[in-house]
Amino acid sequence: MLNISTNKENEQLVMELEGRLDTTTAPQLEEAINTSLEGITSLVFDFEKLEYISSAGLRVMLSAQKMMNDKGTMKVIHVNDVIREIFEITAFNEILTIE
Amino acid sequence: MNLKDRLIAKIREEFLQTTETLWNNEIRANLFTARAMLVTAGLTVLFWILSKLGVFSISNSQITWLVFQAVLELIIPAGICIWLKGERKWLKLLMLSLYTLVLARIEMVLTHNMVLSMVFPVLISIRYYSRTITSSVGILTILLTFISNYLSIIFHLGRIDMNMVTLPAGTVLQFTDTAVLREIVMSQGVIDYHQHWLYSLSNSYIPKLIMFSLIIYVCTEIAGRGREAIFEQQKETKDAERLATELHLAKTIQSSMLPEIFPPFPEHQEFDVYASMRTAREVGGDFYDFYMIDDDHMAMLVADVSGKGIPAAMFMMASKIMINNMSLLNEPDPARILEMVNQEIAPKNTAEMFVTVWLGILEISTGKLTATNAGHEYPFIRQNGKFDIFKEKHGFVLGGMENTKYQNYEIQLEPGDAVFVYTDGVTEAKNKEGDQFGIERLEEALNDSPELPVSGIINHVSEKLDKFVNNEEQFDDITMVILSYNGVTNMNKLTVEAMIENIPEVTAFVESKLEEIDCPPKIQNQIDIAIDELFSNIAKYAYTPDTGPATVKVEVEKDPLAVIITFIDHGQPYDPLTSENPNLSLPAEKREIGGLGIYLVKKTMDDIVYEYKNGQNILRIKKEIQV
Repeated sequence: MLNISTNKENEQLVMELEGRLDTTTAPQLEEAINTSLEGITSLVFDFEKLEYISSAGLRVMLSAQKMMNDKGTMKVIHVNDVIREIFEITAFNEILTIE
Repeated sequence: MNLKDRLIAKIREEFLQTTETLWNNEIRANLFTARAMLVTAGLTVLFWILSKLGVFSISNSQITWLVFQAVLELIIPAGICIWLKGERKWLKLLMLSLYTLVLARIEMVLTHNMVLSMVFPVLISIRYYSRTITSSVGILTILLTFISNYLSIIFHLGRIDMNMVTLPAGTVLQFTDTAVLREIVMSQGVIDYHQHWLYSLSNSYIPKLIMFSLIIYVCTEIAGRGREAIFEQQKETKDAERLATELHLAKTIQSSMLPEIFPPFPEHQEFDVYASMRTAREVGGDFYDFYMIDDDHMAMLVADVSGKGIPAAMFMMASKIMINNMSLLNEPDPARILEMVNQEIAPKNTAEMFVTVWLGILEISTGKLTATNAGHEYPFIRQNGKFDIFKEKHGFVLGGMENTKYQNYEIQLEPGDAVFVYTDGVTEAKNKEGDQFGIERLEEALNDSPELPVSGIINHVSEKLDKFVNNEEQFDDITMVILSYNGVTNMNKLTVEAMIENIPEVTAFVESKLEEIDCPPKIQNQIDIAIDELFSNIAKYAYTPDTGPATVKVEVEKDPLAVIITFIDHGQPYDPLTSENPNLSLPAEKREIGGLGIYLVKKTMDDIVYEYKNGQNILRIKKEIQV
């Protein structure tokens, strides 16, 4: 189960994720990103209410990062312990900007 | 070592063994010869005393000297032989030739009296079990007899044949003693030695020669046969040793085929199984087995092959493997399984062996026991706390006849119920009076302690049986198997269609179990991730392009507290642990997601094990929980 709320201000898009980013919900996020990146130069993921992320979610994060590398910046904020650890294990902390 | 070297080594070993056997025999034969010579010496002395006492009328002035010489020549070689413990190759030559020589010398003087003694050496030489030795001694005997006869006449040592003596006409001989005769003849008569020798040759030596030849021939044959007998005996001993080794190996193989670790399925709290088997001979015809057919079906069987020993054991192995295979390849239908096994065994069963089988399959989740009986003993069923014999309809023995049909029957086991099966070795065990243990005593023993755990019940029956039999010899294998059903108290398993859509259901199920043990949220999240990774793998790859069931089982371990989650599917064999770890040093553009999920599970869980068993992919993860 995943709730995505998007908040767009000018060229900045903030996506607040709530729930779980896993195999069942990742396609949901992927679609949301694909439909709303038009004209965006700054993408912010707010993980405050995200419980965890699995490799399916990591895949979406990776493709988002690749897209934003061409367009501007991307960062992930309010990362909890579990997710931080996963980013560390998978070395995603080297790729993503985590605050 | 290559084959040639091994062959050479083997031949050498056999040669050495043969040589050793013959040498041991020769030592004993030498000592025997030495004893025979000592006895001969003793007898010679005895004869001498008797002749001195006048019992024999031997008239020879040289007799004392002769006896003295003979005794020395007998005692000295015999003494040397005994001193050397018979352990010299040349002893036999020394002793047998001297022995023959001594006897020939005695015969020279006592030509007629002692002729039989000449065959002693030949007879004794048989003990060497050698045609060569016996025939050599024989030839020596014939030669020496010839020489002694000749010398006896030329030197007129032996008895004088009056036919060969020319006395002056009118001579009157009156004597009572051969010695007197000899003196008279020597003083008055003229002996034609040449005539005497010819006469002796034709009338004395040639008949002796014929008799000796016959005796020597017979003795040589006996010696040769004795040698063959030694080799045969040696071979038989070796065969017996080999057979004993092979029997021991057979027993090891046989017992290793039977499940001996209890509890056999510690992950299944729903039931307990225990078995015990005591074989009457080295290898027996009884067997039992239990194995999981799939995640929800456990098969259990007890069987008794007709006959005993190696043939029964071979038949047992074949039956066991076939029943096992048929069970795993087909529906959990005992009657059908036995029918198929019977069709395999019966047509090829030229040895007319058969096996009685009780086969039951327990549906673990429901307690439904489906069983069939191929000519085996009635089972005992414990319901409401009491064991009762269950007289179901029997089918014919397995392997006895083609196209035999078997019938299933069902028993609904409730928690606390049990099934006890056994072989006739239990009920037919006899005590000293010849009474059988019997069904009633078995039932009594079973009900004596129905509250015991399964192993306790069987041990209790064993004790009762031992007490009854009271050290009488066991004639048949004694086998007992028990199954007790505990029921599914706490469903810790969920089987769903392996589809991505079902991941939330699986996650929710596992979480409900984790909540029971107050699992911290962080660990719960890590476990959720693991489920997501592993179950999505199964959903994507196990049954493609079709779909199929997947089971998730949750178990909790204590000390240290840990949760074990098992994923089971019947899909294509696939070990996710073999996937390579992803390269984590690459920049975003070159990163790939493949393998990342498994890597994540490996890193966050404490243990992950994969096995492919009974057509199932079984993946087990373990996570310790520090509260």
